[in-house]
Amino acid sequence: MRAVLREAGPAAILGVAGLVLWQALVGLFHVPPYILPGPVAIAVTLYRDAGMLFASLMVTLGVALEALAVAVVGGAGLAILFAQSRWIERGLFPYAVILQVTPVIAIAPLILIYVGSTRAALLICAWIVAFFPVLSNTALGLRSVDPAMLDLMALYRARPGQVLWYLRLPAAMPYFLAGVRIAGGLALIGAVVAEFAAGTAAGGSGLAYRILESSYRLDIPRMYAALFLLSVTGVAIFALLSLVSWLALHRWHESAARRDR
Amino acid sequence: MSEAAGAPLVRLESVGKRFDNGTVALAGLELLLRRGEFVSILGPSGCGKTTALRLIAGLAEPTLGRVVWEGEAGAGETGRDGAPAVPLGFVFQEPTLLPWRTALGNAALPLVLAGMARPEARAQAAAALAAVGLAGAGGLYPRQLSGGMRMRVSIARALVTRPSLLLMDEPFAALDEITRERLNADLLRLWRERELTVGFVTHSVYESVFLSMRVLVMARHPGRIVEEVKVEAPYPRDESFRTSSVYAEACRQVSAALRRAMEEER
Ligand SMILES: Nc1ncnc2c1ncn2[C@@H]1O[C@H](COP(=O)(O)OP(=O)(O)O)[C@@H](O)[C@H]1O
Ligand SMILES: [Mg+2]
Repeated sequence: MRAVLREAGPAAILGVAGLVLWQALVGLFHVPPYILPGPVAIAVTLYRDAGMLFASLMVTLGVALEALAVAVVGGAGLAILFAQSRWIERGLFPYAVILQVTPVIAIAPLILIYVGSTRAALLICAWIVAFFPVLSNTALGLRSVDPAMLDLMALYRARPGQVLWYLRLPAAMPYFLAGVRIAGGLALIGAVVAEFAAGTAAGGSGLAYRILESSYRLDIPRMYAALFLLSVTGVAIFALLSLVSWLALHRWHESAARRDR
Repeated sequence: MSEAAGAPLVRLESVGKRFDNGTVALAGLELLLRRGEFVSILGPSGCGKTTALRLIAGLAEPTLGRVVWEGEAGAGETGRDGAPAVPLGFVFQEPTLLPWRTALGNAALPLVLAGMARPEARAQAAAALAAVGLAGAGGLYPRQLSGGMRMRVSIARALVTRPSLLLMDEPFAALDEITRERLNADLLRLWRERELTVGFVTHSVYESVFLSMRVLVMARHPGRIVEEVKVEAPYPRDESFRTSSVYAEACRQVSAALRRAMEEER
């Protein structure tokens, strides 16, 4: 409990102070809410529009989580394939890099044109940004095996499948999980960016669509409310994946183990 | 009777090892291990001790000469894949434990890899841990163990397959003096109880003399065995051996041999 306070205390104090200051300045200078709403106005909007905003959030979150799932399975699977053959890795890795360095916002319109279903197009966009950290981290982890451990496996005549199962996969686990944590945030970003690219015309219903729609109507408080929901969701995804990572590693890995004093 | 020189077990015949980068690690190395012997290989770092052990273990292949296994039916040479002809345990310089497996899981690994059923493998691993004095520590992870305990787990893992030959590469080099002496005593006990043949690499004169029947002294550039010192003291040896005149004399001889080996370099 005290550790939690020590960790989160400073940020919480700063945050509350900032909100109070923000509310005070908005009230003091009579800033109209269509220019800058105060935290209270935003909270009221969040409460009033909760049904609609949460429905939109679920749409965006659904895309992000599905993309994340495919990115995790696909990224890890491809990394395992790379570990089997340097030839496959040399052949495919450059294309994974190209996919990664090309801004998704630039590819999204094309994907939206070629893929009939908007939802499928959004999924592909979110997947493109999310899968690379999983792939590159897992591939690095599978390669970062102590040569002495490989000697050990050779000494006991381990088959390639056993080396993968008993040595490479567990050794890659911390790398893989770090990749997944990054991918979680990126999947959400990818989903939102793709929704923006799709615009209101595509008849979307995600949070980005709500933000666009509110901006056309100059409904600034609702834009803030949607933004707030997105941030909270991003943090929640990160926290959840961190927890998964901790659960998987804390018994043996130094990064997750509490230091005994 | 482990003291009597037994039948030949494995022989390195004018073995040379040259790495791909051109380093000649070994040249004209002659070495014979007999059944039941405790033999130390001593030499300055970089003289090829690790390489020699790896050749015996089949983890690397000689570029010249051959590794010959004696006395086994159909043996007389290495198998086609350079595999040793007897069950073999290897203790690396580092404990080389898998950090995600408990002490028990690590000790059981060779059996699991060989396809033994899980409960049976765990039972035998528990027995191996008990034999190295770690009966209660099976559930701990490597990060929870001290350096000495990690090395004990590593030895338990090497013994769990009931090998007849145990190769050890400077296993205690990183440990403090007291832990090292304790492990030396335990190693001698295991060697006698299990009628092992031990090939022990070290760069400590005292350790080699305390443990072994023969000390092989190596020189560098290229790595080869230049002298052999016999330690004519009976087993069991205990701490009182360290203060005996035989021990002092043997240490003096080995030190002198080591000095000559270092001088021969230039
Ligand atoms: N894989 C390798 N590739 C190239 N050179 C090596 C390799 N392993 C060892 N060597 C070289 O071979 C020599 C003997 O090494 P090693 O057997 O490890 O010596 P020691 O164990 O006696 O310290 C050293 O000069 C070392 O640098
Ligand atoms: Mg060495």
